[in-house]
Amino acid sequence: MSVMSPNRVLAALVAVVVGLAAALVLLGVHDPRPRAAVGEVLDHPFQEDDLPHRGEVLLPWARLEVGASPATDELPDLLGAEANLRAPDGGSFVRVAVDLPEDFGIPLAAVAAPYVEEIEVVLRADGRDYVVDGPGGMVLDPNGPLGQGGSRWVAVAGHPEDLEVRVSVDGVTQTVDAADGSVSTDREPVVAALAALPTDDELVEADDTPCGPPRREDTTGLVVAYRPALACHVSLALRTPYVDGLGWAEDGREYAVVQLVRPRDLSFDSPRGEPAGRWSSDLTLTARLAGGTPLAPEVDVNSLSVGGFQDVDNPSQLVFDVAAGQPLGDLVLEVDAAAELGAPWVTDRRDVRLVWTVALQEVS
Amino acid sequence: MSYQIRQDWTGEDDPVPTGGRVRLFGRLVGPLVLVLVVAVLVLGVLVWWAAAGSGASRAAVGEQVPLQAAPYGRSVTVELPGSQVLLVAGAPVDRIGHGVLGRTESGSSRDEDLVAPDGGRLVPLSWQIRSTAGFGGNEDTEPIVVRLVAGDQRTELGSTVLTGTSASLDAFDAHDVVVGVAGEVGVEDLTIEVEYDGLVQTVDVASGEVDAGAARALYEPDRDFAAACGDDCTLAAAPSSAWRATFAPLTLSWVTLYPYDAALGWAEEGSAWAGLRLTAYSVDGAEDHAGDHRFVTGADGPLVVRLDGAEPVRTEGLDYEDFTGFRGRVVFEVPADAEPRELLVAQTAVLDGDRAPRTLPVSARIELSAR
Repeated sequence: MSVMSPNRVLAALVAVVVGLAAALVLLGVHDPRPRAAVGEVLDHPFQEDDLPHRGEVLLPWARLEVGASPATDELPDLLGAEANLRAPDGGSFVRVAVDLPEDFGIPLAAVAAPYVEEIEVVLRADGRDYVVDGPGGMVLDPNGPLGQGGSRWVAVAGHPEDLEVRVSVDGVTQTVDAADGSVSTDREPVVAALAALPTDDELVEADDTPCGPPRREDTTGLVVAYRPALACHVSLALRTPYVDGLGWAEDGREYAVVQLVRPRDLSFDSPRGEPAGRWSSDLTLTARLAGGTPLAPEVDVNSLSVGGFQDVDNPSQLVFDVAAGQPLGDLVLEVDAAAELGAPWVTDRRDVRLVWTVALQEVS
Repeated sequence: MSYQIRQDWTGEDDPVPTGGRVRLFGRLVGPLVLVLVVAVLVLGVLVWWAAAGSGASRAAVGEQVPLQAAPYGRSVTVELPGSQVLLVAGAPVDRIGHGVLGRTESGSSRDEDLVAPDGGRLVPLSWQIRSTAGFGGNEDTEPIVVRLVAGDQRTELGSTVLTGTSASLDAFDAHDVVVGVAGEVGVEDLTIEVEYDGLVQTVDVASGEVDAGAARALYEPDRDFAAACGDDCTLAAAPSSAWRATFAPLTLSWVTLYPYDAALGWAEEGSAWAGLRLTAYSVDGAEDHAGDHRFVTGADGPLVVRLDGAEPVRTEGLDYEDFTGFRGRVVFEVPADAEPRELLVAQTAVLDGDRAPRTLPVSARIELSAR
């Protein structure tokens, strides 16, 4: 009875009660969920509300609404269930939103498909950069697939107050201040030029410009055998500050993108006074605009559209470098036809040269 | 205070306090002890209940419980021929709130949270197959198998065939699920395997890296090589031949290097398949220098196609048909980093009549360059 004195029993019971109460409290505050790593980019599976302060950013192929939420301690719950990840130690989460409005399309000029432009989206939080477009992150790719942009949650260090979203395309950056949606850029003129581009609809509605009759600059006397094969017209002349595959134009310069339908196959008859004969030929095109030759090889327009419609006229495209704001002037097309008589046993060869001078009408 | 020495039959002294305060304490000890014992029992139950999962149901090891939404985790895309597997893998947890749990088998919503197996963890996952095959769609019947590997436990999450079965209608559904695993598994112990036609690609969940093995080329840009003659390729007789073909066009696709062929399977690691489609039209006719003309009545022998001198490992079609000539697909095996330079295409036209020559061989050596 002396070992189990009332005092000791009471003290022991009180200690056990206090211990159990403490354990209960600790179980309540102890959060066993794993922590996101700083910089980890996470996707919430449901549509989220638009952020109140977004800024307009222009990609060469799309208008975007871009913003970032204030830092929060928790990811949104999943249908009422707690998120299965918690913030980094001492850190928080910021939502970066990049949305494409309904009329987002801007006509993109390119020299080849698939498109190669490099787009980066970075969250700058209190001076520290977090990549948002990396693996598992936001997708902004003119090649597709559908479902571009959206929101991503970024796990950040601390609870940053100063938040910016920086969107870069081939080195030109537009920065959105998350606090008020104001946008600044390191290359004002080219971004403004993107904003001034016509819409896709305006391009489709643009009239064709006939090339007119060609001038002959050879003395072979050969006669074009089938005149409809000389059909030539310019279907598009567009000034743009950006061409995918070439990048941004230099300050004070622009690209002139010309799409045209031109002769592909010409045959000729021998001149009057010579024995009758049919000449076949191989054609080579040389083009000049504003004193310069194209920046890239002539390319089949149908090969440039990623999943778009195919033009049955098989137009081709030429891209020139021109002075910004200056009239384009005339497009000069020289078609050299290396004509052969008697194929497969060629007995004579002559070079024919046809030149078209076309007054370009730009789409506005 | 006075003590009455009481002599009992044992002979021991037994002082009995008879003071007021001590007497009160003595009377309270019993009830106090009782209250505290009850408190211990109640708190003990509460602590046990909180630790064990407070009204939650416990997952079994290997059990896959569906979720109604994708959990948070690392996103990784695994590339396959003609499709991709989009994965989200979360770090292991002890509990998943009932709101995101899918309905029970009987169709009712759950009102209990889900906790990990005893001593184990729950791994939250999402996986979905997306087609990249474009307009023609997927035609393959090879199953795509996705597995979770946690330490030494392997759980098959699904085996999907994209075409040809009624289950293929659901092939592109998303699967959001939480898997019960045994042991104190951490995120560094998790890998996800994607198997296709014998090749297993492994995703390390902690780093997000994919060990693609022979499928590595699927993660790199396409390697295509175009013919220098473009749309104007033709076959011609040897320059010294007395007869020439009047018209013998050839159309060909790009030569594409790729790691998986539907008929041949995966190329060995370090190798690739190089494939192209072509049509070598029947030769139109033949003419000699004097202008004498003959017609072509067929072809003698198969179409010859060589890539940098090598024979194909597979040809499809390429059986001669009048007017069309030879049309089909040809596949070569090349080193994975090959830069194919030259394609040789040759056929032998059979000329009409009985006089010599009876045949006219025509060919083309086509220069290739990278796109």
